[in-house]
Amino acid sequence: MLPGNTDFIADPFNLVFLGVFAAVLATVVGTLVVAAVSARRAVTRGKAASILWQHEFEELPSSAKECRHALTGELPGRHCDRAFECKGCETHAKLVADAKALPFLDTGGFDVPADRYYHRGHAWLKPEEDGTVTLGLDDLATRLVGKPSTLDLPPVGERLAENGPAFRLSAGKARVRIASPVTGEVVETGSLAKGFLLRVKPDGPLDTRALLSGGEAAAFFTREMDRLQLAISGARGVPALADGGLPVGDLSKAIPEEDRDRVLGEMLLEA
Amino acid sequence: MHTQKPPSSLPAHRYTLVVDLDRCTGCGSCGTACAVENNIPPAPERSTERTGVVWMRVHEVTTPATAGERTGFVPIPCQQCDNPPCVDVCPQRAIEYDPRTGIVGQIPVRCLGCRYCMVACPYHARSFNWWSPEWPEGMAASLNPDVSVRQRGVVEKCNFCVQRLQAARAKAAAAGKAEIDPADYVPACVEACPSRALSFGDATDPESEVARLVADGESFQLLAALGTHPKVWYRSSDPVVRERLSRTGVMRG
Amino acid sequence: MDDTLIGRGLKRTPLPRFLLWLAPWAGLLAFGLYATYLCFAHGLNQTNMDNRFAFGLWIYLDLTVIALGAGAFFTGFLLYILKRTELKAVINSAVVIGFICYSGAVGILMVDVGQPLRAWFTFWHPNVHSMLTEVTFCITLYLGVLAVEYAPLVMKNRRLKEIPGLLVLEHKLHKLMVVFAGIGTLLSFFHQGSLGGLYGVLRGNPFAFREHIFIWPTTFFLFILSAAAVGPSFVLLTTWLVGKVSRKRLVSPEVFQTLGKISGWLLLVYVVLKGIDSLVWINATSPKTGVQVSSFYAHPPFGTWILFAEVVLLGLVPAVLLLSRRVRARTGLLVLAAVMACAGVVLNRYVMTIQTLALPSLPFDSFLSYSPSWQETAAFLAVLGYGVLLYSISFRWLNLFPEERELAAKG
Repeated sequence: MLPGNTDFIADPFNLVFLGVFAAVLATVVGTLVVAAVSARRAVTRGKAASILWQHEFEELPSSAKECRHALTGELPGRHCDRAFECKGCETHAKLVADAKALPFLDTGGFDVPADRYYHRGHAWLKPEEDGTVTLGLDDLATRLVGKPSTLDLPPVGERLAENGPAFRLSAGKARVRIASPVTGEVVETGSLAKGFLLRVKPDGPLDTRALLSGGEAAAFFTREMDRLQLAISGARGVPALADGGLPVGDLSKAIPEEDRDRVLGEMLLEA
Repeated sequence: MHTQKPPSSLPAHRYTLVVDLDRCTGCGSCGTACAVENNIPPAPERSTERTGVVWMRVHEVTTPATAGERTGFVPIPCQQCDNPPCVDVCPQRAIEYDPRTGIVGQIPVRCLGCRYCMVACPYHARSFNWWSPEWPEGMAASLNPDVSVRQRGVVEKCNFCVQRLQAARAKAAAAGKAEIDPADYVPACVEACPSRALSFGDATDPESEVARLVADGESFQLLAALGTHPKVWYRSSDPVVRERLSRTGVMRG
Repeated sequence: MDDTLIGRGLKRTPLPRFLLWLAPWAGLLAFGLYATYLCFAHGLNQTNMDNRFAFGLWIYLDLTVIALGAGAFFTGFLLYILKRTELKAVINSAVVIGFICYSGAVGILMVDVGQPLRAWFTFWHPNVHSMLTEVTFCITLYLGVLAVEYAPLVMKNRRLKEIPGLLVLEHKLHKLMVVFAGIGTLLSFFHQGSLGGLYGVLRGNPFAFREHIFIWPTTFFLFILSAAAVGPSFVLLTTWLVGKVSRKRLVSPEVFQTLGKISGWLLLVYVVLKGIDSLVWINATSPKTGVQVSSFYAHPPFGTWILFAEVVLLGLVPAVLLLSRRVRARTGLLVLAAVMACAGVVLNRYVMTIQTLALPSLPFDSFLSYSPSWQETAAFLAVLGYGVLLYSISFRWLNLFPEERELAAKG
């Protein structure tokens, strides 16, 4: 095939055919190389967590993608198309600029302490006095998971990326990761008994722009209850809204085992 | 058909075989001589008429009663077409048309065994090695050292005993001559035919017998309408035989 | 282990039942592999092919599965190049089907050739005038492209995507998928065509030979069109079948209708061109070689009905059915039309391969018959077994139908 081959004939047919073939082969190989190189670069630059998050977000049902300003009723029916990354969002910037403090209304029966920030994937973040932050599962997630059968916390020194995996847990047949609300380094691992799961030293000044707090968080929890109802509406033996809805107290028992994985994934934003 | 025209450049020599059907007795000597010359292994027991390796096949043909029933024999080796349908289909150039001799050569060591050329050839002049060649004890010692022994899984066919042409060329070169002596290049089948039904020679040489036979208007080619321009010609004094053999096989009646 | 591999929110049958389902197909594969072992060990005398019937069941099936596997390239072309985004629902499945068809065909081809170890000779000493060279080059490369298109599906497996970097690579590959879709289209275009060209160039066979347009016989273009036409039908059919076997709704009915409509239009164009081609062949090409076309059909059971069945019954009729909105609205009829469309192309490949070889050529030849040996049949069944195995495994552990989860949630 190569022109060096003794019986190669340099007629137009050969040149065109082999030229086209070589060009196609080069395109395929070149594209693969480009993909591999840019993947490697993305990984070394720490973009892996963000890409994973983008992927998860894309695969989530649209009910999970409601804009935070839709939760509060400011923008009815708006869905987020930037994977809850509010920093660069123009709509968010505008609404925040003329936002009045929302009234702290009903939290749907959940405990929503006001000293914390809440991630849409149900992790909370609490700024501590020493400049670190502590992370934990919020009240809805805690009730939803019940008693986790395993809890995989990252070791001290591990790097976390905002929206990347913070830790993993399993309950029954369900396995799910909890997305991190912050970028930084794990400096202490906690436990359910300690009241926090991870202590993290954030990179640079703490950025909470994508997180919810105060009245917005209260509205979020109320709306999440609706979403949960929707997520398990197909499952058998679950109280419907007409029956007064799900009992907040014992959420984990309300979910049939065969639906637990799907429901947890949907509520904790893992596709 | 776009290939009706003969190829633009005819070969320098046109080695040609003329088969006189009137003389053929169907004895099969040509096939036996061919097998011995070209190291063709004996057919295994399980083989059929359609699975053995045969370079020179003698077909027994009976014309229907309506045409005056009679039986004859038609030896069909590779027709050595000047416009061969097989050369272009081979994916890896294991078939070559030699522009110096007009001989269509099959290169068994390069053959993949895809059998596309067998499908392309309207004369069914090719054989595939369905079995590994096996020689009865002692017979391997009598193999012709001038011809390679093929292996299982490749296609092969008649090449007008091209090794004899090479030998003739070597002889001519040793004697300092540019051209071979025609008497030095005779394929094994022609040599073996007891009834002299086969004539062989270079049709570009006006002195040769084949040039005369091809030119006298009594010779015809098989499936001439396909435009393959074979260099194997057939002769018969019987108009029924001539007419029937000039047709394409799908034409019944 | 198995549980953690199944995509979130997807219901799959319990593992023991899944393994029970796989068992007969694995058995078929093992049996076929034994048959191919016999062919490798003892030679092709294990088949019923011979010097006259030099192509048989295997070549016919290669042509057929490659035509049916055209759904992979054509769906990719429609989705990534023409931006028919609704086809996202079936692209993964189409890629898997395409990969199965092409790898199966290449596998069978390796048994079919007498000297498989010399396959690389085609790349080293290519005869660029041979249709088979084009087929070899394009199919080899396209199988690689299909593997590249398959890889992201595997990387997105629930467990595998946790491996750092794998999902990133998937993400980058997916962004460049339009390149692979384009290359796949180009390669498919040429090898589907060249497979048709295989027969159209046979100057020694007036039944197969066709007029040339530039350097290609008309069968080149007809094969491309017919493959593109039935590709979507076959995707429709397999999706429907998988839905039935797994008792799940995998795609919304609109996707079926889109596939049917695309198939219908292409099939109509194909049937019209095939009709014109047949008329030219009947009135000009074949008579020029001194053969009236009627004599090709004088050998029962290969009568003119076969041409009628190919062009009208399994060509024009399914095309009209697929183009009718009312037919498309009823899944049963739509599937029937798709089956007919696929059957038409299967018949076309059969005629091109088997009838071409069976017809007599020398004046004293007779019409030949051939029936495959058990080894040939078993090797073919191995491809079927392999296909079902690979598809079942992919269906269980990869997310082949992106809409499935939401359709299941809707109940």
